Amino acid sequence: MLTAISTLDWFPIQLSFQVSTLATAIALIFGVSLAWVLARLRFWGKEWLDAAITLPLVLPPTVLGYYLLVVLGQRTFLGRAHEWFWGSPLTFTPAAAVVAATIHALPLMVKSVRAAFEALDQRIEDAARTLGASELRILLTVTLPLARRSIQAATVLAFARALGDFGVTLMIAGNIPGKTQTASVAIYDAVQAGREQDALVLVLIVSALALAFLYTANKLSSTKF
Amino acid sequence: MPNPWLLLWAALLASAACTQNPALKVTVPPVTIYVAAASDLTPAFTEIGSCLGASKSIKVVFTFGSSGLLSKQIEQGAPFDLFASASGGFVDRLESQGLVLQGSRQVFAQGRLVIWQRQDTATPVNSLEDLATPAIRRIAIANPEHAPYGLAARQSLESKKLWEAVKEKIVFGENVAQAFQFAQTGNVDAAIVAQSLAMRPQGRAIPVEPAAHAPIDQTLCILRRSQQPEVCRQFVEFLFSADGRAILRRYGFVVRSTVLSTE
Repeated sequence: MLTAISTLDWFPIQLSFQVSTLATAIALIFGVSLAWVLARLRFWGKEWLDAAITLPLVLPPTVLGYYLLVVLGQRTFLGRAHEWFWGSPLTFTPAAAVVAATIHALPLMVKSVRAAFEALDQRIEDAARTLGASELRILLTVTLPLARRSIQAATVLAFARALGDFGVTLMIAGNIPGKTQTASVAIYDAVQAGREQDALVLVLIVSALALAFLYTANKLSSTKF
Repeated sequence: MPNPWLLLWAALLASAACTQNPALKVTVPPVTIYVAAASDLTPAFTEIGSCLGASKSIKVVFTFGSSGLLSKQIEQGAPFDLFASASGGFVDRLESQGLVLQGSRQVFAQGRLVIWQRQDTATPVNSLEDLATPAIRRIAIANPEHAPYGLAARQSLESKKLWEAVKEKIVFGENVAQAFQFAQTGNVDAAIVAQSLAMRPQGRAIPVEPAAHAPIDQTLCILRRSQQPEVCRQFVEFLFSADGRAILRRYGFVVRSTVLSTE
């Protein structure tokens, strides 16, 4: 056990936290925007859009990963577009791990925040409107502060889900040690290779870090401002 | 100034694993190659990788997985230099898509199948026939649809006319390492798996005769996208060297005493 800790490669853990943070940030920006669109605007196909965003939670990760590999692969339109814009392919890079994590974090964000927006008392927003506030000002000073708790909770969920992603990451980012191997994939790899000690150490460290993070997040979000 | 004790220790470790050529001094910075390999090769290739790191300063980064998944990732542009598959079929597919460096395809070993059980099993078996007895309730094999060892396990059972009798007891693992885990954790009574994985001391492994199934040809190829084909060739050379063959043999692979011909 002690030797397993001293020889532990911290790269996967570091990568996992970087990937999850980035994925959560992306999910936060797009998730809150999408949730607002879904809660406040009326347009055809709204519920279809909502369902499509939720789909990644339903599909088996390896199946979803396979489709993403086919859609984002280096010979596809999207893959080429990414390579043209960023100068490097998307698949089998840490960026692909971010995509994998975001795809699962986004629905959790959209669903929770949309519900929070819809549960708000519309009369408070209307009151702001009668006082002449612009829609943007209403969003920033009324809607978002009132939905703050739900957004915080959704962010924690999104981060936790991003940290735990395995199947999609394995497919589109691959299991390349030192490059794209996240903590979840490293744990799987250690178990598959019969390195139970390494796997156990990784599980304990990731669990401890995640617990500490979730605890802190809960503490912070229950603080009254 | 590096710690001399550390150097001594490193040298000891290296010489314990492989015979070192004293003429080769570690002066060049290591070049890294990325190797995708079937999961049955995990223990053997890990050792071969550390030998190459010690004697030739080649750093080999392995990605182990099922041959099917790895070949799919290579088709989609995964950045590997060399692919070692547990069967020739996946290499065929990559070849037909022009992804393989011409003339680099080689069979380097053959996998062996064993019936594996935990040492503390209440129902020890000594042959494939014994698996048909009612005392054996669950048998794990890799999925024959896409895993070479799973296919070989099914072929062996079929050739003994046992498949129909045991079909209901079979549990499929996603790959051969998972099938082995089912048995190792005591969730199945026996598993038919790669001998290379079943070298653990606490298990009992009964060999399955190789005539009962098509050969499990461990096939490698250098990928055309590789920027380091020469380094890959050194890896392949080591695999076919006396040291490399000894390691493969130790993990239960069948290697001919002379260099295997290309197919």
